[in-house]
Amino acid sequence: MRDYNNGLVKTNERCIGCNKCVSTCPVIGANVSLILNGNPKMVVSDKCIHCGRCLKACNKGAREYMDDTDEFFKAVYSDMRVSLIVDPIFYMIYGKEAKNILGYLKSQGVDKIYDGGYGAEISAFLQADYIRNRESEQNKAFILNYCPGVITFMENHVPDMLESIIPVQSPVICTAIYAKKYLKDPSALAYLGPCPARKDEMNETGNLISYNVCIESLMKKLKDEKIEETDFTEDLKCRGLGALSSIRGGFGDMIDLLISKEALSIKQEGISRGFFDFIMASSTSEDPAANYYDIISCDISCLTGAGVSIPGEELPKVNRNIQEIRQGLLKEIEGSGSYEENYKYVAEMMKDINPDDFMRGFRSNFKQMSIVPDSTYEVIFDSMYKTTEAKRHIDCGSCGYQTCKEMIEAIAYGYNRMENCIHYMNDELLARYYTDDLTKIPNAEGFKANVKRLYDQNPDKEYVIGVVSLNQLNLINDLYGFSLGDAYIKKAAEVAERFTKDKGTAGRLAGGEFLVCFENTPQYIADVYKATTYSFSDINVSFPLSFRAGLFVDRFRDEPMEAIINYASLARDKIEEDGISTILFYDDELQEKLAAEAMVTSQMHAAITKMEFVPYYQPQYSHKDKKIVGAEMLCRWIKRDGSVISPGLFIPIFEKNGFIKSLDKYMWEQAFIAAKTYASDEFDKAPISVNISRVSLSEDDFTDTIRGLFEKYPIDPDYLHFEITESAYSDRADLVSRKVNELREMGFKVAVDDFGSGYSSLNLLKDMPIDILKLDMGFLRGRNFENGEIIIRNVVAMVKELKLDVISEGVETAEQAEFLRHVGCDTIQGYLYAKPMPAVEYEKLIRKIDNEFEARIHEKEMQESVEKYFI
Amino acid sequence: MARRCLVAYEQSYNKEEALEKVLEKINEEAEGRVPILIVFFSSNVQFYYHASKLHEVFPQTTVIGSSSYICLSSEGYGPDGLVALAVFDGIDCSAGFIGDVTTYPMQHAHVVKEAAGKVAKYDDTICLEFTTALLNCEEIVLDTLRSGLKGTGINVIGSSSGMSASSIMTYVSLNGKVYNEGCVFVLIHNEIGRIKLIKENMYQPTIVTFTVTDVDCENRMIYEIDGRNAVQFLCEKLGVRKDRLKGYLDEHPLGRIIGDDISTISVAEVDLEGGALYCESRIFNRTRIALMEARPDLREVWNETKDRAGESGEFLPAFSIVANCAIRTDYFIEHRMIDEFNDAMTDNYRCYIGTSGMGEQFVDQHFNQTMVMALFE
Repeated sequence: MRDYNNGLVKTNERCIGCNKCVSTCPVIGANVSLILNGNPKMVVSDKCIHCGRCLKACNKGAREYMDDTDEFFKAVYSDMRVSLIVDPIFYMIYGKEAKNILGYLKSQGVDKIYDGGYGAEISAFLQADYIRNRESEQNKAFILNYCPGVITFMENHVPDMLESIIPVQSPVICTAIYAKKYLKDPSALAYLGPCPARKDEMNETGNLISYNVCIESLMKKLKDEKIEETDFTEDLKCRGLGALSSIRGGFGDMIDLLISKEALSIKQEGISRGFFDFIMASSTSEDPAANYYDIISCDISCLTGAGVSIPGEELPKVNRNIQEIRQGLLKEIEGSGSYEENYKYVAEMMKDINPDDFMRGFRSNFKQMSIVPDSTYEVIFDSMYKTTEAKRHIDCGSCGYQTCKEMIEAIAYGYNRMENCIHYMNDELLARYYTDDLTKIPNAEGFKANVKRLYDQNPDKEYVIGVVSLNQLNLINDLYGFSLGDAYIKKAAEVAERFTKDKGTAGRLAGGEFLVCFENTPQYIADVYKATTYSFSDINVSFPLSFRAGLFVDRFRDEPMEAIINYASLARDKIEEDGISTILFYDDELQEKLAAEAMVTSQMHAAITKMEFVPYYQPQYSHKDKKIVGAEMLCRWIKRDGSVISPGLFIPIFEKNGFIKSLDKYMWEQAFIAAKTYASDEFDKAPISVNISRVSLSEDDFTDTIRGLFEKYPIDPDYLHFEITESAYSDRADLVSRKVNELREMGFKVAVDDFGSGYSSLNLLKDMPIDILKLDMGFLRGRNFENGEIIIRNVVAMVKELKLDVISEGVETAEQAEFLRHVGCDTIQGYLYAKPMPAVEYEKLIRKIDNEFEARIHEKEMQESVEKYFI
Repeated sequence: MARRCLVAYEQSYNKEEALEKVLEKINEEAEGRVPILIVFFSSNVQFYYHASKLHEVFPQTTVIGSSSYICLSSEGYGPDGLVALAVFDGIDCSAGFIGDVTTYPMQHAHVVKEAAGKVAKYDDTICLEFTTALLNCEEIVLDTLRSGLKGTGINVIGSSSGMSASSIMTYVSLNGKVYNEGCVFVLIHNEIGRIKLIKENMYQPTIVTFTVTDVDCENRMIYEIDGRNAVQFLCEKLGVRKDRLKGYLDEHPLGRIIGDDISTISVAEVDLEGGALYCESRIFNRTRIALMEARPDLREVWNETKDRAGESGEFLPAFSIVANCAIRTDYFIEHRMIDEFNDAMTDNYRCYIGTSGMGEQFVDQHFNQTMVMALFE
């Protein structure tokens, strides 16, 4: 489980992950970006030095610190003796009121109260003493021990400079030591001050002080208490400048009074690694920049400590308090002499203390981090689209770090996330718009943008745009799962990119569809045709994989890219999925075909409601008496404007797009209606036969539909036959057989249509439950006419022996008719006698004639009719 | 003619006996010469004894060693006893120790630099190191070594120490001193030939690849993969139940992809509650990872390594120092191939000595489940 927010400084639920804490924090890795419950948060790790700068920086109040105020009061209200060290900053903030507050605390049970300025004077004297004795080989240190934030930072992050800290206790600890050792105070000690980080110092120095009470916490605790004026005085009060030690430069000023004016000092507010690098470099030079450094963590002295909260309107008052204290002190030190005299004066004051009691050492808590290798920087820079030097040095600081490189380092260590870089997010949005998520190659938008760039850069070149579909993708998904399917797509993307590299561009459209663009050169076209199958054995696909590609040569660049892609896509759609790669160029012929197809597809639904699909009837004649013995109902698409769309055009399209099922149902209903009409006594008996397409036959509800119509139009089934094309029997013979049987059980006769138009099988005659064989004249076409005649003769004989009816269709010549009559085929359908005709014409032919006159007229009409429809 | 070096191995539970036999062989070969370098490996139990005794017998010699899960050599292999390589001539060496390995080894980078200053030449020189294991410190030790060697072109090769299954501590030693927290190193310059550093990865990447998106680099933890809880992600991706994930990852370690190179990383623990993986090597955030699988034909792997050793002209190693990860050793034992492995190593690299530890260091990387070796011409 990840460990965070377990120290003195914590993130609360108000955090919105804005990075302000990062920008003010001196420690890389103290703030860790996490997504908690879906929300970005910047939590605090154990690298935090508790300086509290982030509390001041956060305008959401999302950072809080821990102190011991509650434990302090518990102890005070118990039997324990607790004494309090008061940081001088408390007097500066609260002025005269400070005494009343401290008096109140004393009234609540606090034992002794010590002015922390006393310890500041001891600490300052001893540190000045150390500096004064710089000549000694041992005294090499030059950084004042004053601010616990600075010391913790150095102990945790600048181990090489620990020996540079003057080994004297800080003012607070000096006060504690004095109280314990010299005043023999047996109480538990508490410290009232501005700094949560003081707790670390307490822990590091043997817990001389038990409670760290931050001023802000104390005042919150006392806000409802009645604080009255008291005549309280401290049990230990500082004697001079210690009172100002916590204001800006105050501690250093005390040192300055005690050492040579020629000694240089640098006062630094705020911690940074860079500053320590500077000190390190300076200290090893022959002419160091300073003799000592006074560094504090907070920006404007301890007044801005994390454990202090001074409202803006109180600041003038605080300033007046400080001035008052300063004036009082100046009076006291007026007339102070040279630094030597000052030193002697203070040394005299300190003569009773043993310096050794106030010395300390510093312990490294540093943990070396692995060096982030260049390769990792590269990977992260690249994945953040920072691919140029300029992008790698934006250094805008919005992520909280000073440089892009620092941010990358933080990401590498797991302290931060790429999403916290605003420039990455901008680029990522753009990239997502243009990049396919799975394959990381351009998506359709990216492809179009790349093609535009290519066109602009190469105005004289001609390009081919292609839409490529992966074959076998569904098979892979079904057999191996989508994970491998995705791997196949990714590999294919690599192939597409490789193929178009240096000569164009590639992109992914969707699913297993890719877009390619390459220069139209004979070599590249030849390369396309060379591609047959690809081996994808590296992703464990054992069979070769192929594609189908529709290509369009964009010669004129005068149409939008969408349209160009559409043309290529239409060409691709004309290719059947196969085991080998197939390429089809979009050309004029295809364009015409596709235009017609588009027209048919766009108008087919409306055509049904407009009743543009019209039943036509092609009579079937008996050879013997030249009478009509039946008719095949055929569909004609006659548009409202009178134009006719050929069945040769629309039937294949309907079969492809599935609309044939709707048309079939429509025509079946028309057939039932016609059968019912022509079953009346007005007409000669002539059954109607209607077609069933392969597609409809495979529908589960096929027989239910027929049964429904049968119930709706209860006819004598002798008046309606169904025709099923011969080729339909080859698909799922058992299923077809079952459905045919169901039709026959309803009483309908079933005919095999087009027998002889393909590669006919005699097994069909043997196994299929059929009643009528419709013999196509295909046997009599082409070469080997004699052989065809022999076959027909024998088929007819065989069919008769099987007790099936036989109808010859497609009979166009008298010779064919004569031959058929000769071999015993009784019923003939074909243009020789009549081409398909509308119902009104057909009805005239089958209407019964009551007298001889009418019969003659009818015969004449029939003759005319035959001539009319004969081609 | 006296040989330039020899490998002596004695498998014995009795440390005195093991040492005696090894010393006997070294002295037989020495013919009055004092070894320049002795590299030795032994089990934890016998380690202290051998470290101090070898230094006592050869006070002028650089004696460097590491505890090992198993001792490997061209003279045989086994979990106990002592194996030592003694080099009598043709090399120059300079050794050192790096302390504070878990906190701040870099403060001792000067030790490495000073050692580098003592070797005769940087060409045909390597830095052989052994670092105590189980301390999460190999990467910062490697940084330290590389920092000390900066500008020399000397590459690092080495092993995290090994131990027997029942132990919890590993040891390294330099010149009689034994450390349970530290790194010992020796810079070896081959005066009469080249040195080849070779890495053998018996794992190959599967098609499962991903990017780690949240890590605790210092503690070698992976929290997130492709923006999702690491354990949950892997369980879903691999179709493995949570409680079986660790077992799955034992067989399918992680492969850290850097450019065209893949290094194998073991997953030591799976934190089911926190959804994190604790690895045996550092993985920086945003690292591409491939799930690995053992290659089906290990003999092919060994032959490929042999071929690589022979690349760029004829190369006949006089002696070789090998670090073969303990997990690999276990794999060979489980698959009854350890004899064959040792025979192949002996055939291919002749006079060789090997340790079996908790990780391997190679040039600029620390990884696991791999074999690295330095072949000295």
